[in-house]
Amino acid sequence: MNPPKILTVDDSKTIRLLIRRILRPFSVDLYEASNGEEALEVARQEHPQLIILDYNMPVMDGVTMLGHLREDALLKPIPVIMLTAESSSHIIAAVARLGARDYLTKPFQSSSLLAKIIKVIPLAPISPEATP
Amino acid sequence: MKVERIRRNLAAMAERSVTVVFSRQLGISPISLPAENKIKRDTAWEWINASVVWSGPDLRGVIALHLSKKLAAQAGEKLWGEPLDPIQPSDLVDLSRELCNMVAGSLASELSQKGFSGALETPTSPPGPPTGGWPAAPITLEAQWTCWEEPLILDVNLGPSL
Repeated sequence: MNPPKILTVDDSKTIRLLIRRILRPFSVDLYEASNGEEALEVARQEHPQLIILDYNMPVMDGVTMLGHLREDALLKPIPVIMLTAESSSHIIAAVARLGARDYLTKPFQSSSLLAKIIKVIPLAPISPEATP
Repeated sequence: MKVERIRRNLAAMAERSVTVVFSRQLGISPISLPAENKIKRDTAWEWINASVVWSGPDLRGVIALHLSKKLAAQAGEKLWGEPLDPIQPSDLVDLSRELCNMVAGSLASELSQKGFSGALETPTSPPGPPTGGWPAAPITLEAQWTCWEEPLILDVNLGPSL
């Protein structure tokens, strides 16, 4: 079985590296984008099983991207976990209306993000033979 | 009245915000410095600055984080899980922006609990030694810490929304 595809969307390289580190022990095909526009392109090409999405980004923010995702019949079913420093109630309400599966505010513990990911897609640890 | 409450509680809110970000994300609690032990904002340190604009219907302002390059590199190793080799200046700037974003997010959440909602803009990084902020702002705070024996400064400047 192919490993699940996860797309991380954040303009911060720091956060993308952190998520890469959190997911390193698991068999996952990880894709990255630094804004909503780039992410839509990757999503159309790769059809990930999960998108981890920031809110505040240049070019296209997370809520706008989520809106585009929900207008696209093929991409609409992809579950989205918002990962953002924003905790304003109107933004949480907006992403909930657009069907985000979950919401996690930064700063966050690695275990909290992992728990939310596992609720959406099963993750298998990398087998010892596959480890270089 | 509500603004007065913010002024009174801002130092404690800032302390909680910085502590939660550094302890949860980096596993370290910064040591708060008393006013008489102020860190000099000069070129003795190699500073990295990041700031975020926060604006709501009643209040708006700037939250700025200043940290030494060495502190940013150590924080980076913790967050990235490994030393980046070589570390690019842009990596340290990115890390500082993200830390500032998280501190501002935590502070925004505290402000929202006190009745002031608002949204954050994308963080930016002004170059050079940290400036003293915005002296004309009605609500200002300068708080300082050391972290791994390196300097960390938070400036918060809030005023009425136009």
